[in-house]
Amino acid sequence: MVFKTSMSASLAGFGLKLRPIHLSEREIATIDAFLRVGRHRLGCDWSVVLDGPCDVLMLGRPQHECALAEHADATAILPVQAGNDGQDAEALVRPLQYEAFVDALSALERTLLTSRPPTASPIPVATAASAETAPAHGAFSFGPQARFRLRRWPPAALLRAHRYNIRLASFMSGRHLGMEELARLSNVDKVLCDRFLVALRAAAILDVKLADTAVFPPLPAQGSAIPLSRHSPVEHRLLERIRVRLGLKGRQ
Amino acid sequence: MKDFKIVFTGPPGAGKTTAITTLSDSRPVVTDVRNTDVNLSKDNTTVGLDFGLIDLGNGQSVRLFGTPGQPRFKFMWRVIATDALGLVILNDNSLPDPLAELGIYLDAYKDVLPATNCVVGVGRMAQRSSPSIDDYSDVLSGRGLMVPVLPVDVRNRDDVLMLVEIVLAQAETRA
Repeated sequence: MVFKTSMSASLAGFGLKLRPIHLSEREIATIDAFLRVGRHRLGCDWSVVLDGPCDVLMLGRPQHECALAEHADATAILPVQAGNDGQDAEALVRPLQYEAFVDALSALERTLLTSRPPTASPIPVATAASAETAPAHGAFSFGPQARFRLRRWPPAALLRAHRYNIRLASFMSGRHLGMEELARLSNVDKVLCDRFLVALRAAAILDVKLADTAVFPPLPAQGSAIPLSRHSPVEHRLLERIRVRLGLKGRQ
Repeated sequence: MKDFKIVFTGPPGAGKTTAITTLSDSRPVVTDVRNTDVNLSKDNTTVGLDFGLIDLGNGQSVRLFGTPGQPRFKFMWRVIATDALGLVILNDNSLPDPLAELGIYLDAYKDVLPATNCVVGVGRMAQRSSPSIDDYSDVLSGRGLMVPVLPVDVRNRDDVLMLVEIVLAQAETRA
């Protein structure tokens, strides 16, 4: 039996399965409701499955009390425990809370998307995966050579997911930028930049280049047009002054 | 000495004059006259151009121009936008066919848009939520354009500043 949660079409496509065990029917119904309400905050198309392999197993009992076969097919385990148990900081606490649940799934999405084999995804990450993280550069999802640009303006739901997303998207609408450059220009923390990039990739609207080699086909119509502006190169200093004058500089 | 120019364009009533007034240091120069077009539900309409100024000091400034909205003044749209740092297309979602309205402006600037810093602001979403912002984005994407599109209330300075911030971000990365 599957309770399919509906995602906006633009974000759908990267499916993750959530399987609750040792949870009550009421808790499962709550999870299903949380997924429906929180779909705009999640980058992936989550579905609840009651049997078979899954990406995340929500475990309503301590793991040591469960048979190994119960969680052998899961990629990740999300424990659920009573509020006074206090053993596992990563666990969700009963009764289930919406914010904690969505936050936990968002964190798991990032982990699962970066660890998933490229072939498991319907989006064109097979080539982008070569730009993905090597252990040498820590927690980020893409390698230092990767440069990013939007293939199209992101869905409104994705932009609403975080107040910095519009700013990040704006900088990525002009040309390919590396993570360092994106963080510097936007003044947004690299962790948030990375989270946004992962969500864009999940929505299949992230164009990734490795160094100077295009990973995806070139974007349409670029470079063939006549620019209105003859201010090229635009003076960065003057742009900064405009920002300061309008009160945009340092605005959070 | 370098001055920058940001141009606001879009159909009549989309809020171009209001947006410029929101940003301008001084009272903007407007060329509004009493509206005689029965298709427009507004008392006055711009027949020349709107002009505002953001003074940066040292004799430098950002000039804000608003185009007249009615298509009969189309010949002015490109003239005003020539050499602009950015183009802000404002649309009114309460119009009968707002996506077609957007199309008029995308056609008018067709050959320059792919290389121009541009953003689309959609007003009166509260009055009419359809088409959605994603519908606008689909239209732009369908034309091969990577143009940001956001809901705006031009009476809200923060909303107008967001449009300008996007244009500046694009200018910075294209520099």
